Amino acid sequence: VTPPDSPREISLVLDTTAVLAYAAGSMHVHEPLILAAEAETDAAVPLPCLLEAVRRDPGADVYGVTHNRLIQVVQPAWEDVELVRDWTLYYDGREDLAAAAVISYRHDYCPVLTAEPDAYLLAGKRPRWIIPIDGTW
Amino acid sequence: MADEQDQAQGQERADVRAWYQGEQARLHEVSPAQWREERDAEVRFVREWAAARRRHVA
Repeated sequence: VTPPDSPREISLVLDTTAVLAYAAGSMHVHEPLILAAEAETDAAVPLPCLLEAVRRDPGADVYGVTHNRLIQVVQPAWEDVELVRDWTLYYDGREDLAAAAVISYRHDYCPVLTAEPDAYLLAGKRPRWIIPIDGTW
Repeated sequence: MADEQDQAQGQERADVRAWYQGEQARLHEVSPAQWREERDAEVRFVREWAAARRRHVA
C-alpha cells in the first residue's frame, strides 16, 4: 500500500470493476490514467477494491495495477473508519464501494471510474462523482 | 493494412480521451464550494441513514 504521504495528488479512483477493466486492457481506464499523469496526478485503487477484483476474478492480471507508478493502492484514512462503516451499511455490505466513495470524498473533483455506476446510487440518484466506463472492453 | 489498424486505434484513443475530458468538464460545472457542499450533504445523508438503520435493528 502506498504511504499516505505520497507527494502526488489523487485525481481519480478506480473501483473493483475499473481494476478488472484495466487488467483486461480497457482503453476507458488506461487513457484516464494517462490524462491524470499528464496533469501530474495519480489514480487511487482502494485496497478493498483490489481484493474484491481478485476475489471476483482470480485470473485477473493485477500486476499492472500494483506495479504502476501512476496508481496508488490506498486504504481509507484511520479517521474515516466510521464513515466507511456507514457507507458499507448503505451499500449493502459492499466495503469496496464504500472505500471508493470515501476516498473520492477526501479529494476534490475526484471521480470514481466504474462499470457498475448504479451500485453507487444515493437516494435513487447517481452521484455527480461517478464516471461510468464502457463495459464492453 | 497495419496503417489502417494504427489509424483506427489512434482514432479510438482520441475518442476515449475526448470522452474523459468531457466527463471532467462535467465535474467542473460546479464551483469548488458547491462541489464540497454536495459531497458533505451526501455524507450527512449516509451517516443519518446508517444511524437510523442501526437504531431500527437495535
